[in-house]
Amino acid sequence: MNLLTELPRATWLIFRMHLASTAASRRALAGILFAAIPPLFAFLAMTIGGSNEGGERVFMYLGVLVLLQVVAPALGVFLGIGAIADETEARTITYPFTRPIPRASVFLGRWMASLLVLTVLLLASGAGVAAITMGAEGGTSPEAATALIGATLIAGVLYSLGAAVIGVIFKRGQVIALGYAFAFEVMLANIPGSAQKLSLQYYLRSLFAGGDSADWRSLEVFSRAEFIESSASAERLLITAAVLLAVGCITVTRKQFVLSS
Amino acid sequence: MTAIIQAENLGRWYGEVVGLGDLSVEIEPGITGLVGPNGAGKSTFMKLMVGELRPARGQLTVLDKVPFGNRALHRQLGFCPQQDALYEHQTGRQFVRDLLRLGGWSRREADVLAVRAMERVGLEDAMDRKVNGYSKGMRQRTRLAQAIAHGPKLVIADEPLTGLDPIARRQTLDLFRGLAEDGCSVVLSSHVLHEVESLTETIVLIHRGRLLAQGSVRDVRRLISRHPSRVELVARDPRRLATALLPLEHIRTIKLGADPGTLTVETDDIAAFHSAFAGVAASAGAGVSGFKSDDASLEAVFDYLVG
Repeated sequence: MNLLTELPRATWLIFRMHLASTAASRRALAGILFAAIPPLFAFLAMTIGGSNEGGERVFMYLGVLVLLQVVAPALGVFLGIGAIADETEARTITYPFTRPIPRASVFLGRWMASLLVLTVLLLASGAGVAAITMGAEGGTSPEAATALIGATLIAGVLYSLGAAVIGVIFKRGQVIALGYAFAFEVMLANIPGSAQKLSLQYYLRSLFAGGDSADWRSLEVFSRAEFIESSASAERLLITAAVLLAVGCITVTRKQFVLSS
Repeated sequence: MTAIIQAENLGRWYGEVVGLGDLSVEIEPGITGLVGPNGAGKSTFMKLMVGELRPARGQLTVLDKVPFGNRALHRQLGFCPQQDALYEHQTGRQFVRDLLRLGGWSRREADVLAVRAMERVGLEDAMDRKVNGYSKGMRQRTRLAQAIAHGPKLVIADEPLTGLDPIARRQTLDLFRGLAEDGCSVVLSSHVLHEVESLTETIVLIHRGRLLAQGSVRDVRRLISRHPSRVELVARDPRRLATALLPLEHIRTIKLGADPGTLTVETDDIAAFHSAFAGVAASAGAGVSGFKSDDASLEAVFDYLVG
């Protein structure tokens, strides 16, 4: 079998092999707790807080500041970093690497298993916030909710992929990945001006910032940034994902993983 | 005979630590024991052979292929690693089956082969239990099962007898013999030398990342013929026995042991010692109750070679 047919086959097998264990992992269990935070905040804002700002505004702020800027990167890092790092830590990577499969399939299959778990968690979290804020006065529209949740899922893809790549390259990658997501990204994304364009958050916000309502337009004011068209933003995020995928696959193919006996 | 493994000036470092210094060796088909003390470089050599690592210098071919990331080679290779690592969420059968699936087998074929391999390592009763409930020996045998399940041409096993009880060890040794009879070559490492010796005459001795000696135990003995053979004796009166043995021409040294009644004799001619010993011991009346000659054992060879 050549590489082109073997890669998807082996990726699928690795994905299936590890999906259940990824879903039942401590990382995923911690992820459930983390994913529950935005709906909890939404509930508090809409009940105890009296929802005097209106459902859409609560959804927007929670969506941007908590779901997109904290929960998606955190879950992305926690789940993505383990793609290869967990195999090297458990010293099981010897098994797939001594099988007649492309090494990249191990990276892809394990990352995809993480991504599926991550997607479910983010979807549940985003849908929870939307459901809580939608019913209230001035509730968010389904279109706006879909756009923000969609951006959150894309954030999950990118952060988990970035973390997986960091996990392949560095031995203790979690610190680096968290540092990137919560220091570098947060700083860049919130500095007024064009420096925001160096962050993923800028492009993610651009995906939904062009909403019709005043609340969504206020995001531009709040962020002190001029967002680009969502199609241009999607294009750049796609290129970023493709580059990360290529770097991950090439690195895992070429790298020697030294395991302790 | 064509060598299945050829290493030339092979070297591999871990930072500043030498894993393998400068190893040149050819291994032929059959069962080969890779022996040496802990830290000798056996595991590093094996990781290079299976393509887990790349050499820092020198060349290595396994079944005429460069190992690192070589999928064609991995079809013909089975590797039983030393590290006690399995996918803990799986049963033994699932573990072997899923790894077979990665080798291109269909689900049904993989299941049949997995069951066969688990039976072959004596785990048929436990194969549907989660591996995290296995004993150390069972885990070791599961690792072995995944290495042999696909019928490889070459099995490389790193310390495969570690952690096995005597019965499992016997089964495993029989398994290796069976594989060899089926035409599969086996390279196994051990620092428990008599285990390797009971399985094969062909050994590769590694020490500090270099080849120390290669060949059959007897070949190696010949290489070190200038070294004496050692015999350990237990007697009621070891001093009297030592006095009686000392006049023999080929005796080099006699040392009284720390344990009461023991002595160690070094001789330049083990055959002559064997033929003379019974008469000398009987006439001395020293009450000999133990005799252990490690003349041909790997332990002795190794001790001599590494000083």
